[in-house]
Amino acid sequence: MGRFALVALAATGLVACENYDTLIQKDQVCQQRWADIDAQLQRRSDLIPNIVSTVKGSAQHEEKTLTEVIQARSQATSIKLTAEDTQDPAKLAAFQKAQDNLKGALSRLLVVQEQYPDLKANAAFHDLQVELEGTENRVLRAREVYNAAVGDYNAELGKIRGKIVKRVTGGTFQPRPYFTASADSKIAPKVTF
Amino acid sequence: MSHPSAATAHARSRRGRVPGVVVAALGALLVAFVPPPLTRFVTDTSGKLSATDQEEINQRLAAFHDRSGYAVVVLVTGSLNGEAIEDAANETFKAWKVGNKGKDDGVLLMIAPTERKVRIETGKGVEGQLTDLQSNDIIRRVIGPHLKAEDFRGGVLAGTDAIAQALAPGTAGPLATTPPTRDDDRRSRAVQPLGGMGCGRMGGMCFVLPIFLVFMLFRRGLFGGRRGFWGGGGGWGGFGGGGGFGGGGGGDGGGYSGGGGESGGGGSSDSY
Repeated sequence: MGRFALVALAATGLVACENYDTLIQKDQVCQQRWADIDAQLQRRSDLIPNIVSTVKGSAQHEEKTLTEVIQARSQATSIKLTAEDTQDPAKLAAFQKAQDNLKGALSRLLVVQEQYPDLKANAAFHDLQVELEGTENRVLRAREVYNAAVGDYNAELGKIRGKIVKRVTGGTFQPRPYFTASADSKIAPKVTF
Repeated sequence: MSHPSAATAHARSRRGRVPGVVVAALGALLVAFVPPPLTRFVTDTSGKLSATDQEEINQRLAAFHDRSGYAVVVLVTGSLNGEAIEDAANETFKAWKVGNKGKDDGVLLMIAPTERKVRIETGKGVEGQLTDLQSNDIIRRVIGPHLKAEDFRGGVLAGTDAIAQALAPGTAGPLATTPPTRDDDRRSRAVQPLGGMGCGRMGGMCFVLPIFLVFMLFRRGLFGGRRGFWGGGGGWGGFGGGGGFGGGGGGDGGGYSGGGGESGGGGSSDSY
């Protein structure tokens, strides 16, 4: 009986070890995908000063909108998330809120062009808009891919073997929160050319 | 008329039991855009392109694919079913796996005549050659005017030419006028890169090219003029007209079934 228990324990240990590797690997995928989102958000952040200065040139009366964008940008960039931080729902939520605010401010800024014919006709402004749209779309795709990776990881963690590993390793593996789009940011700003 | 009303009543009684969210989700699923199957370089579910048009486009894109390795595919869709063209194009790209695996060197040109939308969706590997700005430029300046005049054949041909030009500047050329070359022409052209031409530009391709060429010739010897999906290549730019490897042969432009390419959502879309 003692020998049987030992074999069973060894077998469980072996399976758990293998599952530990799987979890590590899936967690790594999540972190990589997060880096993709981060890169695109950074790209958006980099585009903003150019957009702001272009709008400033043609639309001097939009100071409030411009200030809002600048503030939202500095707020969003002040929240830095490491790959580990993304496991923390509160930190992720704060990050998400800042990014959503920035997106909202940005879309309000883009709508401004309707009132300024020379801004609308400005080639540089048009190019920046195309760049921004491309970035927003990439953020969206990166987000989908990230959430799929999170789902995959969470599912693995929820399985019996995953649960065993989670219990044994203590706090190493925690379910990851999804990076969901806010209701506001789901409605993409309608920009007509 | 008794049947429909009975069906409605039945549906209503069911709806009472099934949560509204599920019904909504199911409804969304039913009307959502579904990518058609990929069989060749051009797919038209809108009926805007005649069989001859499709044949012509397919042949050009198959030839370009043979020559350059880049896969440029076209979808003219009947309807987006209320979806944004960005989402529909990305779904299609994912389903079709345009481009080679690992290289992600595919491009999808999608036109939705009903919604009057156009999108160029680029694979991750070609975002540098075909930037969002270039894509937008091609849509607005090259494709748009044709589509405004309801000239879908012209729009697709001009658009794919421009895309090909951006991807592989040397090889794209005037795709329409690629002459069918004779075997000895081809041989002399195959020798050229070894003589040093284009080596500087192509770098490591110098090692791959001769092997590739020999393989292509061998393959053509075995299968005649058949042009099927053949991965690899990826950059024959640098020696002019290129041409020839896809030319000639039968009337069939060859099929395409995707190569495992991925898109990260690059590209651009616009209305026309």
